[in-house]
Order: sequence, then C-alpha cells, then structure tokens
Amino acid sequence: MTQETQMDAAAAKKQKKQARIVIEMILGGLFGAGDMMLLAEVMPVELLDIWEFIALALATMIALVLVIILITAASRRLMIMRVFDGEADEAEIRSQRRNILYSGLSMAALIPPLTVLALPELVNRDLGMAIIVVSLMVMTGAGWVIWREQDELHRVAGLEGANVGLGVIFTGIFLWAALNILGYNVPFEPLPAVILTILATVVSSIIVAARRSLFSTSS
Amino acid sequence: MENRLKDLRTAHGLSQGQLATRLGVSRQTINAVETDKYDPSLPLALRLSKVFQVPVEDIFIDTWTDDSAE
Repeated sequence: MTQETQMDAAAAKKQKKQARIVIEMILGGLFGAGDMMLLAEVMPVELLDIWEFIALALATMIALVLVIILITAASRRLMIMRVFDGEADEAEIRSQRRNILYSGLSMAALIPPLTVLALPELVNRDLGMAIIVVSLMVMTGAGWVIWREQDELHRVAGLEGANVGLGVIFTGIFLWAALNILGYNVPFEPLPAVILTILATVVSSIIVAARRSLFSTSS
Repeated sequence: MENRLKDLRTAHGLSQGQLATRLGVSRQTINAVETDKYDPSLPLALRLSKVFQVPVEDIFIDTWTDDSAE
C-alpha cells in the first residue's frame, strides 16, 4: 500500500467516524426527546415540580439505556452493537459482557430509589426506605464486581472519575449550602442534591473516559 | 510518555485486541498506551517487554535527565 493510499484510507476512516458521531448525536437527541414526550404523556406533569420531573426523566432514560445494554450484552450475534458501532470488535464486547451486565444492574438499581424520591406518596415510608436501602446494597455489590473485573486502565479511569466527581460535588454542595445559610434564598433540598450528584458523576465519568481515549475504536 | 508500542505491535502483526488478550488487559488499555493517554503499570510494561523481547527502555522513551548527577 502506497503512502497516498494509506492517507486516503485514513481520511475515509476519519470521515466515516465523524459521520457515525453525527448519526449517534441525532439518534441520542431523538431518543432523549422521545423519552421526554413519553414521560410528559404518561405522567401527570402538572402535579410534579421540576425536580420530581427531572428525577423521573432520569429514571426513564436509565431504563431505556438499560434495555439497549441488556439486549447488547445478551444478543448472541451482537447485532445491536454493530448498528451503533460498525467497527466494534465482537470479541472485545463479548469479553466485557460480565462487566456490561453488572453495569446494567447497577444502573437498574438506581431506578426504584429515584422513583421513590420523586413520588414518595406512591409507597409508605418503611417500604420506601427498604427499597432505597436494598437498591444501595445492589449498587455497592455490583460496583464491587465491576471493580474486580476491570483492568488497570479502567480502574485508574474510575478513580480519576471519582476524584473529579468528588471535586464537582463538594464545590456544588458547599456553594449551595452557603447560598442557603447566608440568606440568598436558594432552598437546599434533598432531591435536587441527589439528582445533581448523579449528573456530576456521569459528567466526570465522560470527561475522564474521553481524556483516556476510552471511546476510541480499534486500529 | 512517548512510546514505540504501535510500531512494535504492527511489526509483530498483532491487532490491539490480540495484544490485549495476550497481556490480559482490555483493548482500550493498549489503545490508550499507544496514544500516550495512559502510562502502563510496571508489571504491564515488563509484560510488554517480554512479549516483544526488547528492553522496557526500547518501548518507552523517557526524556528525563538527572541534572543533579555527578
């Protein structure tokens, strides 16, 4: 292969990758918008405050992402992943199936507590507390298995993500509490605190994964 | 840290996935090392050295110099 042909192949590959990113962004946008429309349709939105709506939207989004993860992990031929990532290496995904399943379990465990916190009137106090405690135990257990399954890069990325996340959460909570205590009339409420903690964790994970090039495909 | 991992890997006709399987790490780890996004642990660096049968310093390029040395 000549140098010119190699450059053409590299340019074509880059173009293909960019096209895929655009398609994924459009799909993601449609997916998110559809999720919000579905939620607005089935939920009595007028009875919810903004944070309760966001909590339920987050739970619904997690549930939909979970469906894709579980289908991907369970799919024998991994066709779904091929649709989303044409260059995905089947052996790689297969080798990470256990990790994907436990990540899915950990995400699934977030749905009941978010729902209970958004709609506490759905269940009595003791049942609500039991749901939250069991969910936290499931998340902790799944997190332990995921940690054991990870290789060194993923562990480093996990620690960095936790570090960045802690910084963001500490800053946010501290400033928020200060605004509340010092009389700036910014209410300090538990549900927004939980939601912002989850979002900060997700954002910090994405930052670290991108920095460590964890999203790139094989070459 | 800069390295010659990609050159060595391609010279041995290995894909990132194949090298990763041989070393017991994920494909992303190999990719991150090759693109200077991650410096491997000492055990992994030594394993790479064994696989390619070259000294570690022939894989990883350290530009640091000890100016305080006599």
